[in-house]
Amino acid sequence: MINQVSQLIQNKKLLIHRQFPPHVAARIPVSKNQSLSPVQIVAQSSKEMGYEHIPIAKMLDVKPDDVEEHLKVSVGDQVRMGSILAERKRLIGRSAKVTSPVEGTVGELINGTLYITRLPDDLNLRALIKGSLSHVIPGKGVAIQAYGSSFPVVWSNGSEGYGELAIIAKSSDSPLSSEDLSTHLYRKVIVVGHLADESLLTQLAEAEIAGLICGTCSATVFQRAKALEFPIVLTDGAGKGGMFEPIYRILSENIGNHTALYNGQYEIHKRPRVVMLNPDIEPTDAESPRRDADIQLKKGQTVRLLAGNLRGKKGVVQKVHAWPQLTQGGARHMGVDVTFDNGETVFVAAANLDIIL
Amino acid sequence: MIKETSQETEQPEIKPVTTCLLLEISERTTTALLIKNVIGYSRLVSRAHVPSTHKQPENNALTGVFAAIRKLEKLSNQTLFNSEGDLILHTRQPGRGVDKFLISVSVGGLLKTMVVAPSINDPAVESAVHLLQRFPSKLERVLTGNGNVDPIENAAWMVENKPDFVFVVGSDANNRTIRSQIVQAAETIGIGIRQFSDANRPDVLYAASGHWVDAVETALNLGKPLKTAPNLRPDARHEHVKPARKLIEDLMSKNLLAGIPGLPELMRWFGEMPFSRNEGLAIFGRYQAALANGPVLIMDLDSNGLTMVFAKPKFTDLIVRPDLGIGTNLSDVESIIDIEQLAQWLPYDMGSAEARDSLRTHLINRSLFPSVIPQTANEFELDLVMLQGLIRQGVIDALSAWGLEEDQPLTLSRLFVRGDLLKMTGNHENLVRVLFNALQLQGECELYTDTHNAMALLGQLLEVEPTIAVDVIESDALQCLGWLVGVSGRGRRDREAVGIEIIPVNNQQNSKQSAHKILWGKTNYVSLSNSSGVHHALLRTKRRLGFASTTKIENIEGLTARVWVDARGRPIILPDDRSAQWEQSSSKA
Repeated sequence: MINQVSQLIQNKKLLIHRQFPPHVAARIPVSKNQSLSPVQIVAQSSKEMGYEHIPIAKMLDVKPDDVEEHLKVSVGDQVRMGSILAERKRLIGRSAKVTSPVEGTVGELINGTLYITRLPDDLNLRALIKGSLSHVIPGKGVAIQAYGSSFPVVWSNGSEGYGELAIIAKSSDSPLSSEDLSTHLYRKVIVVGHLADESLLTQLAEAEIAGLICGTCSATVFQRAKALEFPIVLTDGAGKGGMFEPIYRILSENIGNHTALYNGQYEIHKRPRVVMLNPDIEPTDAESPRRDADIQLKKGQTVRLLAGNLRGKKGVVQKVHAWPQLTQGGARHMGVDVTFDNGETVFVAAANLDIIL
Repeated sequence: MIKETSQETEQPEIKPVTTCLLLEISERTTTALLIKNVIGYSRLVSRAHVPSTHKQPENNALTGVFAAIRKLEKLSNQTLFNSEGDLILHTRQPGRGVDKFLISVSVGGLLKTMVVAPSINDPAVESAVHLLQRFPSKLERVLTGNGNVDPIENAAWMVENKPDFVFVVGSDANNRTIRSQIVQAAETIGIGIRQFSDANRPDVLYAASGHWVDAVETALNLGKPLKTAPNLRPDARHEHVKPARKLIEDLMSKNLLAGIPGLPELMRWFGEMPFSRNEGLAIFGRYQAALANGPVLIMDLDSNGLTMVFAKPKFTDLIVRPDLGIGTNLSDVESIIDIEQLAQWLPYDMGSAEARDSLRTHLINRSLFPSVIPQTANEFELDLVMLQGLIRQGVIDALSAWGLEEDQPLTLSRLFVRGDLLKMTGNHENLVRVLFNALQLQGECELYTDTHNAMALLGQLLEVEPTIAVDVIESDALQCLGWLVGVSGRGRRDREAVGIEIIPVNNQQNSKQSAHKILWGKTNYVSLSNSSGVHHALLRTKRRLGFASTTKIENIEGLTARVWVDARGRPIILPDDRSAQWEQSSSKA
């Protein structure tokens, strides 16, 4: 069984899907061949926003049972922010008024408290990248066409964003230190090989970076990164190994380019990915290479190891075993012999390989 | 509906059931099993496993189902589809079609649940939480109306989090305070539920006192009658679980199964609702408990979570712990399991901080790559410790539900294991090591593994075709690995803890009588002859070490089984030499 396939696309025509899951109905506010900016909303869906409760009896200083006679609205009325909900006239002085703090629909009056259902808020999917609309997926979302490079990552903290790409890592596996943060990082997507110190995340947040592309990180950084607002993606997972060399190379070639971090929730394959635009590519109709539906391991195939001491290292398949082989765990698994860049050849179970296309 | 060819459907009722097709769709694998009558006995003759296809890229569970049946056709030489691509049922021709077709499903997300009760101390809350643990559900909140928590805040929480299902419970106390508490709680959630459109509203099930149903219905004000079940926990001594369980199962099917791509089409094709895998496991557990006349535990650990069926005669309990699965939530498991304690089980000596960090990193990577196989011995050990921790936590949390104290060692008659646990432990020695460490079993129990994924399906078959199911179960559809012996009491290191005597019967050739001593503080196993009719006797030493009887004699028929002995005492104390491996007392008795 093959664990995963990663397609690294370099300087080609890209197709980026932005679509809601099947059970969510979406509105598409853009049309075909329209030019898109990164902030352009390409699909919208409504999100129920709950309600506001207004303790009218307390605010008017009346008994709960007496509130109804002071009400100026009834159930089902639409109110705007500031609309008068209830008023109590006094013999002397100004009358006491209660106004709506939100825009919504008047709900029930229970025990002197009035409920107003807030208007549903829109959940917006933005393009995050400059491109043109390739086609509309009716009721779901859109596909955006752009030119540049792209690769999938193994984890995202769920946030999305975009900015200019900057590499502050000394190498693909060097850990980030506070000295590396001295450069101007405002609104940039930062690349680091390894992140072990969780306090650096605070510094990055204070520097208002647009996003972070990290090779590997420590367990404590991982747990902290989940709660951060700015987008963080990991290309290789937890550990100390650093970034997969071919991915680091692609990033190095795109310094200064517009880069978008997608969290994968709105993609077809549900896998987060990084997209970098290349303004130097001539627009062409040639499609980027498509993945075969059934990819088999074969001799000469480039792979990345997902487990073991050489985790995250690139290798080439030397031999495909026809029969299950014994692993160090004592079980037999189907797999291949892989020669890594350091010259070492080891048997690897097929499930532990990421096929690099 | 399954279509039948005209010449093959004549008099379908007359022919007894001889051929059964059983199908299980689980998170990763779709399994098809074929049972046929072989010279008068029902036997599991063929099985096919294919990857499940309810997720991307296929996004249709039916694709995997057809692939599994097609594979089974090839392997068994049994024609199962007709020329129009429909399953052939009730045929009279040998080698064509099946007489019985069952589907069991164990995929889907988690049902977000909320329990509403008069107060947190109400015994019904305990029963509700316990009942919900039987399903792949996540209890989001217990809402009470006794004034401890602001009801407005709770209602707001409900709108924000939108549970799929609200379970209203409360014991039968004839008390005005309790009545007003539950009505107040219902009023609060009523406000929350009414914020959603009719189609989006959470389902509400009322299983509290019958006296309050009208008042709660009025307080909820949902514009339709409440779905009700008899009071789940009328008082501290009584519990009525079955009716509420059935209604929750229906909700599960409606909310979860219907959302799985291809499942609605599969239901139309199958003609009815597929069985739940958990229900099949529960039936199988009940049958085994009755057969063994003692407690039985079934454990299934996979990416969906940890599922456990604990059954005794006249008692069955099913617990699903989605938070303890080998999947994406492993990176959060630290909030449930004490990583520092778990790291102590690592078989190598390293600083506590380093061991803890290594285990944490491993858990995160396991959550990112759940299908990866350990590449190094170190990763393999981390995997075993992780499995051990997940099972141990699940069992500790379940002990009270099974009527056991936390410090009371678990005693079982039979133990059944299935799922990814089998694959990840690699071999029998590691599996038994994980089981001993996690369960801390005492006494003697038989160990079976379900390598064919047949257990849940055989459980379902027990309901509809019990004769065939029993025939198949008795014909080694499950693999018996032998006996686990957990020694308790006090002992001295390197002194004999237990003796095992192998006594051949019927004067078999190549078999001889032998005796083995298991030392205190060691783990050891004795291999038994694979020739049939061997008796083995477990003899206690002078000290009383936890055996109920002095001698145990069992028959082993044609199996390579072992007697696995854990003589480390109870509770298990970490060995001085953590890397100690299983010792083999005798390869052949």
